[in-house]
Amino acid sequence: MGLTSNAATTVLETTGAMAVTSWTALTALVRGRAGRRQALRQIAIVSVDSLPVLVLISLLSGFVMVLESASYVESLGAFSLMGWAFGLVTLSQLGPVLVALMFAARAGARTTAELGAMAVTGQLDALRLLGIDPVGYLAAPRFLAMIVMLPLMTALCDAIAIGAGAVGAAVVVGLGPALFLQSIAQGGLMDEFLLGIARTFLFGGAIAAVSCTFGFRVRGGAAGAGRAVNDCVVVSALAVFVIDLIFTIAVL
Amino acid sequence: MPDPAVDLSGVHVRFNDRTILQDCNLRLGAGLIHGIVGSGGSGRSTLLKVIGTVIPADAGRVTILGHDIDQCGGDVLASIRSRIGFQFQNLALFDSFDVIDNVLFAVTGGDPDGAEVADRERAVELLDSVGLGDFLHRHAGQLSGGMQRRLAIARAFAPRQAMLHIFDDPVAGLDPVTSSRILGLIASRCRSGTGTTAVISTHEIDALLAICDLVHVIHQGSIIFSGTPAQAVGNRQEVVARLFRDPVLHRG
Repeated sequence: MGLTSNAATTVLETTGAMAVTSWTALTALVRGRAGRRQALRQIAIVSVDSLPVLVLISLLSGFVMVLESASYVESLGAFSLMGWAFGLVTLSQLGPVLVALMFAARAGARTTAELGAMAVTGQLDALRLLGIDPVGYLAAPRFLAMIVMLPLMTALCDAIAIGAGAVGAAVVVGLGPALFLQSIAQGGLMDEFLLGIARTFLFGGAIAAVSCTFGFRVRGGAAGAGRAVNDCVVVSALAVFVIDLIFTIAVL
Repeated sequence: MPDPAVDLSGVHVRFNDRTILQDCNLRLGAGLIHGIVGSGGSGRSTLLKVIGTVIPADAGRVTILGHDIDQCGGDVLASIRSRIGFQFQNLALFDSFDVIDNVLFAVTGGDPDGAEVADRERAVELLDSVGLGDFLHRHAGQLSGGMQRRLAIARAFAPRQAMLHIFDDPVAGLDPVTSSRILGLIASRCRSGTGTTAVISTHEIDALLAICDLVHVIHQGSIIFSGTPAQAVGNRQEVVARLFRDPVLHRG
């Protein structure tokens, strides 16, 4: 009973802290208080940090999906549906969720580590003394970077995965890339693509809220920072799946 | 004594059930240089952080630059903080910024991108005065420990409206020549006729006695002596006498 109560208190407290961080950061963004240089720097950081691994994952997942589906496609003779099925899974679910999870592990973890290091070295206190709210000042550009860059990177990764799928289909089942891509283009998947991208705005906001909040709350030196980074990745992943579930129920 | 820039009355601070300051009473006259002396673990850094409004008191009354901190709203507190220059014991430099931006950050109140020519001239002049004029565009994290300390001191002098300068171990780790130069710089800047109050905590007792108007001894979280350097040296209280007779034994 005591453990349950403590866990519930921790969840409520953390959720409240994330709400306050989000509100403060978004208010600072709306009021134009996210420094231009800071925002551009964060955009560059999250892109450079995440893009190579996201591209690699997209290529690999594209090939794996083709390999997994090849035997079924061949046994059913459903070659004309292969591109469509691949596009449906990639654009609506797999692409956005997989990219968000990797983004949380790269950009989110880095953000928590960076803000945590600032917390334990007194840089947040120094900002407060200069009359600057560290939450608004530091979180706003990171929110902007994550909310803008995650959808863009998801769109890019969708394209790379589909390209990898087309090449894989040609190699594994001998389906021409033109037919594979035509099946996607004629499959009426624009809604799935747009809904997939729409949910990544929410994923980006959630990852920013989690990573910034956990970074600001770091206590206890390097060990505390390590725990916070670990918690950030786990809670971000959880948030991505919860948002995905709610979003899917809402649009069905 | 002139009107106090700082007035602490019955201040208590606790961390994790450990009492750091207890019934701490301290008045710091405006326009004077005050030295805070105490052995390691006596509560010096915590006292300086309470004076700098970095941490709140758990009990007691804290009046800084004429304002009761407990009664201050956010705007008033930000205004008070903008008149405090603080050199943290752990320096708290913005290590992702270069040297001049660290100082410009304090000169401009958090907007180094919006710095004007006069702001840059002030920053360069401050950095020249601590011997960092040739390192303006080096990242703060790339400086040696001594250079970082000097940068932190330059930043503490940077806020234009500063009326209270706080230095927590400003010469720790510096060679004797540089220590003497830095303490001389602090004294000359604080006596330059602007009426600013300085609070300095250091283990360099001889140097401190040479530049301070008043010395305050903290022991087990309470101020046990306040007086002129001559009174401090002649004081017969055992703790005070030991500190001034054999300061090396009491370094933290």
